[in-house]
Amino acid sequence: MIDYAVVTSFDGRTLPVQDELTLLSRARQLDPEALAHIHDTYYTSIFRYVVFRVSDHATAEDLTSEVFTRLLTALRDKHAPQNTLRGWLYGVAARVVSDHHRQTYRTPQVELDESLASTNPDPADIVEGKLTRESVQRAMQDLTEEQRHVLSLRFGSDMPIQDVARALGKSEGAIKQLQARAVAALARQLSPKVVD
Amino acid sequence: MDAQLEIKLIECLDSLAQGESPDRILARYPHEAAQLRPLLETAAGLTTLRREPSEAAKMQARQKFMAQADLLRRTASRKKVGFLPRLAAGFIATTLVVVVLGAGAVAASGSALPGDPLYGLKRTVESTQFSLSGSAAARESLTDQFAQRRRDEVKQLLSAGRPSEVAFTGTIEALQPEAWIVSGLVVQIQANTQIVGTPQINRVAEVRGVTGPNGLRADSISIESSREPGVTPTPEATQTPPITATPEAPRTVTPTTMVPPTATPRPTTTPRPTATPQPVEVEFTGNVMAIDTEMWNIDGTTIVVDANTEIRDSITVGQRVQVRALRYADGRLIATRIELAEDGGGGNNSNSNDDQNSNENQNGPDDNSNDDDGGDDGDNSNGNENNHDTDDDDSNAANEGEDSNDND
Repeated sequence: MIDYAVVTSFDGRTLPVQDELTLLSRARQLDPEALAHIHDTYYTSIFRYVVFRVSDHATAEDLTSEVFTRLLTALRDKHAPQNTLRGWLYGVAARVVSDHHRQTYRTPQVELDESLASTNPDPADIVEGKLTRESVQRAMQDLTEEQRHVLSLRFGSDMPIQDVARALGKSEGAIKQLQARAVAALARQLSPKVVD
Repeated sequence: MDAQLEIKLIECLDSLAQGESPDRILARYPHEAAQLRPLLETAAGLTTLRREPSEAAKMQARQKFMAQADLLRRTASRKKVGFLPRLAAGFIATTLVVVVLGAGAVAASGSALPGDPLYGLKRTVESTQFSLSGSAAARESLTDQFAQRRRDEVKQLLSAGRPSEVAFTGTIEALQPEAWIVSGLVVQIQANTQIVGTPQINRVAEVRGVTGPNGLRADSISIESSREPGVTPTPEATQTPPITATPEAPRTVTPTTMVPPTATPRPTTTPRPTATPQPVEVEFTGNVMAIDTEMWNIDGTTIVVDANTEIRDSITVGQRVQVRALRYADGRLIATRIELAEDGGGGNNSNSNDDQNSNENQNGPDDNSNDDDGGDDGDNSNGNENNHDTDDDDSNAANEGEDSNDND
C-alpha cells in the first residue's frame, strides 16, 4: 500500500497532510489566520464544483459561501472534519447544492425550467450550438446523486481520477466506471438518439 | 451500453483527460466510433462549461466568512463576562440619561451615524452609560459593545457610500499590502497611512480614516501590543519602531526591462507627494501558503503570477521565498520574480527594501543575489512568524489604568 505522505491536490497546489492537520486543529480554535488560509485555498475549487451544478453565477457564489458558513458552525459545534478537509467541503457542497435544488422545485410558482434557466444566457454558455449549461443541468437531474457528484468533481472542479477516488473512498477503477456511465446517461438525456 | 463498449468508453475518457482530441481518439476505434462519438463529445463539451469565480466575489465571501468567524469567537468568549451585570448597568444608565435628556431624542439618536445631527447625543449617551457603570467587567463589556457600534456605523456609512471621518477599533484578521481586514471591515492602506505598532493578525488596531463610495481609506492605524480585544486605551507606542505598511519608492522602472548601459538614470530625487499611477516595485520575503496557477498566497498576501513572472526555483508550499513584485495603484501585486529566500526559513521580515539598488544594468544580468542584508547572519528570528504568539498576553494588564475612551 502506498502511504500518502503528501496530498497532491488537483490544481497543482500541495498541502502536506501534517499541515492540513495542523490547519484543522487551529481552525477548531477559530484561529483567524487558519480560517483565512482555508478560505483562500478552497474557495475557487468549491465554487467550480457548485457552479457546475447551478447555472446562475450569483446563486453559485451564495451557495459556495454557504459551504464555508457550514464549516464554521461545524467547527463551533465540534463536529468538524477530523482529517480530510477537502473531502468534507465537497461533501457539504453536494448537500448544499441538492438542498438548493430541492427548495427550488418545492416552490410552487417557479417552474422547473425557469428555475434552471439563467436570466441572462451568457453567449459563452452555448457550446457548439447545442450543449448549454441549462440543458446539461436539466439532464443531470435524471442522473444519480453519485453520478452528478463525480461529473461535477471531474468536469467542474477538474479533479483527477485518483483524487476523486480518495475523496469518495472508492477505487480508481470504480470511479472511471462511474464516470463512464454518468457520461453515457447524460448523453442519452441530452440527445435521445444516442443508443444504449 | 454493453460491457465491451463501456470499457472502450473508459479508455476514451482517459485519453480525453490526457488532452487528446475526440477525433484522434475515435480513429483508434473504427467499429465503435459511431456509438462512442456522442458520448465523447458530451464529455468534451462538459469541460467547456467550467466557470471561475470573480475576484470580487472571492474577496467578498472571504470578508463575510471572517466576520462570521469573528462573531463566533465573540459569542464563545462573551459567555464568560456574565449577562446580568451588563444588563443592570445598561438599564440604570439609560434610565438616568432618558430622565435628563428626554426619551424621544435619545431613542432617535440610537441609529444616528457620524455626521448626523443626533450623533453627538448618541455618543453622550454612551459616555454617560460608561461613566455610570460600576464594575470593571461592565465597563469592559460596554467598551466591546461601543466598539461594535462604531464598526456597525462604518459598515452603514460604507454601504450608503457616505463620506465621513471615522474611528474604530477591531481585531486584525488579514494583512495585505493594499488592504487589511479589521473585524470584518476592509481597510485600504494608502501610501500615506501612518502605521504605529507591529501589524499582526489577531491584534487589536485602532483605525482612523475616511469612508466614501470607494470604501474606507485609512489615515492612521495604531496597533496595540496586547491581543485582548475590548480595552482600547490610548494608542501606546510599542517597543518596535513605527513601520510603514509597504515599502514605498517612486520607481518608474519596470524590473523586466533591461536598461542599456548608456542610459542615464532618471532623476528620482524628489518623491512626488501623491501616489503615481505607475506601479511601484516592492520586494519582500515570506512563507508560501498556497500556490495556484495564477495566484500565490504568501503570508496571507495574494500575489498574481503571470506569464512574465520569473520563478527561479522549484517552490512548494511552506517554503520561504523572496518576492519581487509591482504594486499597482489599485492594490494588485504582480510578481516579477519569485525565488527561494536565502535564509531558507528564518523569519526576518525585511520588508524595507529601500536600499535595494536597481537590478538592471551592465554588471551581469544574472547577478541577483542582491539582498545584501541576507538574513543568515545572526539568525534574528524575531520575524513575523505569524502563528499564535500568545507571549504578550500579559502585557495588557498595563493598559487597564486609562480607559479614557469616552470621547466628545
